[in-house]
Amino acid sequence: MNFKKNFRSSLADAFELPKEILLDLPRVTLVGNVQMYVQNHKGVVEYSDNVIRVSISGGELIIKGEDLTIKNIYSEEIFINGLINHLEYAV
Amino acid sequence: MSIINLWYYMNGYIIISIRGSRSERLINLAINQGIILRDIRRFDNIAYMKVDIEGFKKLRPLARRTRCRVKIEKKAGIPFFIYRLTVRRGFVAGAVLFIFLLYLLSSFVWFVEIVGTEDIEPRQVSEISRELGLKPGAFKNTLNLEKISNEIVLRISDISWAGIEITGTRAKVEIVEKVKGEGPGEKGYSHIIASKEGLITDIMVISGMAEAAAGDTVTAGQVLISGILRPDPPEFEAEEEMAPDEGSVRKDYVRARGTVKARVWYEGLGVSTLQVKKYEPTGNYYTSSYIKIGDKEIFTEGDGQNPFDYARLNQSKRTLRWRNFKLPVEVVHLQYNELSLLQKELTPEEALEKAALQAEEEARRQLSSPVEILEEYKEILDTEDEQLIEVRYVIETIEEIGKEKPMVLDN
Repeated sequence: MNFKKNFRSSLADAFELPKEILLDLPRVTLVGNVQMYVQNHKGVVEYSDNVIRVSISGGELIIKGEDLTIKNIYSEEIFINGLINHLEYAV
Repeated sequence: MSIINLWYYMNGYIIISIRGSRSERLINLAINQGIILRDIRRFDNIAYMKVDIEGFKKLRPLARRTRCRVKIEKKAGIPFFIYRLTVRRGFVAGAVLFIFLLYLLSSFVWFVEIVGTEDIEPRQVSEISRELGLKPGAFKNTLNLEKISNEIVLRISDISWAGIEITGTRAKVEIVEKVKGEGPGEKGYSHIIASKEGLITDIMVISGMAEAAAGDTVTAGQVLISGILRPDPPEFEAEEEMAPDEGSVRKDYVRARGTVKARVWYEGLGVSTLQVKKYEPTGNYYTSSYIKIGDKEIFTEGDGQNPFDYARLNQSKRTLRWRNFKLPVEVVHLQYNELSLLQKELTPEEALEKAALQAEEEARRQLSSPVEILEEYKEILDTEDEQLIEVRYVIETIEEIGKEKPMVLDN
């Protein structure tokens, strides 16, 4: 498994391919601290006003802040609005 | 409101609340089913979100499976709005009727306004336009404005142009009157009459017959040059003999023209007494104000009575009005400014001077500006009262007194 991942990573490096496709990684875009955009997620684990936990391949993305709202959610994408104070990548 | 929100509104959406601790699972399931959820927020244990109509139908079985309670909080958007309208038919009918009536009533002319008339009575124009169909209550689309304005010009001979403009429900008829030409060749006979009293010094006739001669004293309105040409008396007799059956002699009418110069006197009278009363403000004042409702007066300050021997009253009113509607309530503010009476003794010379000045002013006021002043003099009039001094000031001028006056002919 580890060997497979390394192979893919080096493949992506060699051919300059986007890693999120080959490695099934999430692509996170932040607009200041007010908007967040996660592609390639695996579902919502927990959400409330202050905390949103998004499942991603190989871990979890923990967003802490105030007035957090899931603006839109699709099977591959999630938009989050609100004041983002804290972003944690839990493996 | 952004375009995307407008799109959501047109398709309709439902705000739902989900109770239950496992709402994350419901959301993940919904996403996998392709249900689009928006604006997900959670307060305490209740999650609020927006979902479209199709999505809501699919959400129900999922909610049962995850043991979440789904409640509709609000339905928004055009599909729900249309549904509500189909229930409230009377309201819709009223709204449609309102728009229809508004359109219908605004397609009539309700006001006819006539502008630009000077000598012509506006009523005459409005009567003719009424006959032609332009009247309050006329349907705007059926009016042939060009035809009506042409007809108005034809019917009233003194109008040279008429234009009709409709703005909203107001029809504005603009009238341009004919400027009455007075040049030679224009039909119209006239006399020249005296515009004021005077002694004729010089008369020159260009056309017409002189009725006055130099040295005559004439009064205002008297005919100076006649526009009626009568044959000379000897001819008159002969003509009568020649044509006795004609009844009256033939008269020629012309437009009389000529200049008439006359001496005109302007008089001014000035009076002065040796004692002069003069009022001067002392600076003291007393204010009072009240609210007037109908005939009732409610004093808010003072009692409105004048406390001084001599005073000048300044009164200011403030009324409440809304557009043209006047409320019968006004706030009146009174201010009495005290005046003191000054008795002043004048010397006879001062009084004379004052009377003379007053007389001169009065005489000069009567002058029409560009006249040739021949002589000015003043005379002191005798009065029985010693206290009273009267002065007469006379200005003698030579000026043109002829004035054209149109003749009214029977035939």
